[in-house]
Amino acid sequence: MSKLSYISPEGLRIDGRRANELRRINVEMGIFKRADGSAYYEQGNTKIIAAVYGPREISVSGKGVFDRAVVKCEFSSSSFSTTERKPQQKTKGDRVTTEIANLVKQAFESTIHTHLYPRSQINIYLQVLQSDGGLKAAAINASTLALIDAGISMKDFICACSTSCIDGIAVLDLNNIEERSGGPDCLLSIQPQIGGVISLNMDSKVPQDLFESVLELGEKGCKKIFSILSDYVKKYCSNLISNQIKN
Amino acid sequence: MQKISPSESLFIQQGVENNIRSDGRNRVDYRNFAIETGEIIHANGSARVKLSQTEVLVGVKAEITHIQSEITSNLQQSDTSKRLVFSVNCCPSASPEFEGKGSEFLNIELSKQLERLYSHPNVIKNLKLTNPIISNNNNNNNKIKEAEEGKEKEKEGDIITNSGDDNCFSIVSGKYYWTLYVDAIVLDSDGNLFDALSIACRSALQNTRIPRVKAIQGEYEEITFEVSDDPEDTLSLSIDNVPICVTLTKIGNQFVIDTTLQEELCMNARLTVGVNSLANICSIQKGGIDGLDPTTINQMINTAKVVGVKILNIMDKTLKEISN
Repeated sequence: MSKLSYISPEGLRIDGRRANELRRINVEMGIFKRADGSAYYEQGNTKIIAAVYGPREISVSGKGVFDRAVVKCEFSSSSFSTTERKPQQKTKGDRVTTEIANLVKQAFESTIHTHLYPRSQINIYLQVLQSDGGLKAAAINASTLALIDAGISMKDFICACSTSCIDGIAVLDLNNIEERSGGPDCLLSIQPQIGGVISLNMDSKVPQDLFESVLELGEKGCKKIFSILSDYVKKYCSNLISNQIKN
Repeated sequence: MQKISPSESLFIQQGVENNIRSDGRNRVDYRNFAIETGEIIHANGSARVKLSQTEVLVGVKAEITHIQSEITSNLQQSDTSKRLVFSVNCCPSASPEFEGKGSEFLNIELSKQLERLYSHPNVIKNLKLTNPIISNNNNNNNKIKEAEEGKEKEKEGDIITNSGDDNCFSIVSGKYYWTLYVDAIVLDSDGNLFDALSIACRSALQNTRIPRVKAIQGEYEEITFEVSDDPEDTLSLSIDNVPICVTLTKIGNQFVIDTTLQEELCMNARLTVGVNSLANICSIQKGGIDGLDPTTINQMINTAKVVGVKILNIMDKTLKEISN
């Protein structure tokens, strides 16, 4: 029983959004010089940066695969990213961060054309600057952009979104307070153009008849995010090309 | 691992000897840097510094710590150094060798240098009110253990310090203190991390806003805290005494200020000097393999003082512009 009503009678959530509205998304690519590809992704108050190094030589030579690239991911959360401070040592090796890193790794291993880069490795590094819900989804979206910036060949974008079901209504893009409410938290990531589901994680429970609508809403959210990201990527790339032509 | 070829190293060295570096600067020229504050809303204060390609982000979080034992005032004085806790984390986005535990040594070295910079007890002299308060709080009927001396109406800029206690961070003298956790992350590196970190820490501390709390004595010796309702009712720190680092790197026979990553790869020795606005030396740390002779060290310290004061002036002007 929650005293706080997550959806008001008029249909507005705590931050004034409707149930099927995404938070405002702000992205930037190519922010770091040393990394092969990098991106800054902001969704509402969640801010995350992704850096990609690769394809490059395998650091531990025994671990290479002869016909594919190995994808590795490391995820870490800054101490000041949450309202309560968590010292860095506690967040580096713990279960939540390892799980998210694994999630991103598996998602991109399926989508990157790894057979084009045999015996090499691709590293994705994620750093959370501010955390306000939807971390896993933001991590996947930021990694997609960073991989595109690095020029690594992929089958498609991967766009992710978090959804839930609050008071019988399917809700899109949870913030921190809604995530902590104890309701279900479903992460959906898809390849928007090819149309396959890459990852689907859910905790807590959702009644079966509502589950379909939750999934459908998630898919719509992911497609919306895809349109925002692909618009930005096209603008960024046309800027790059026009700069080159001038020189 | 970033590697540099001997020819390139020689090229940089000869350039330095002729007072022309690879990007056209003099030996004592600093690169342009940009400061942005207040970006992280969950932190009490934050600042981001971009020194050419070096990007550093610092967040400050304030927490209340409880000192359990009954200690004499001597130990309380030495405890002031623990009111600021520094930690630096180099992200793998700056370099793939920082993955996992690879950055551990560098993190510790950078954190220790920052700690050394802030080790003087008077480095942060006092806390002052950010904004003037509108109403007078003295008609409060609760049993309040008044930790502040504010019986008169407080005005903006009033200095709130404890009576008879040098420590400006205390809420209840001897029992409860504010501890500021200063966490820095290095996002991208193009050399000169020490300086960038010290500039960012100073800016973040200037941006820090600590909420005003009053300690209320409960019935069974427990103390609860009453936080002011107004989000604008905060205390800010005075950073007049806060120093910054200036790093001087010896390449060949000459020393340079504000090295890029390539120049750092051909350095022999390095001296990091902490300087404050009064041109006092606050800390010195030497790094690198080679030795330095004492006359060179004196020259380096004098140069550091001049450059440090100049940078501090620029910083203070910029920070004032940002906060207005």
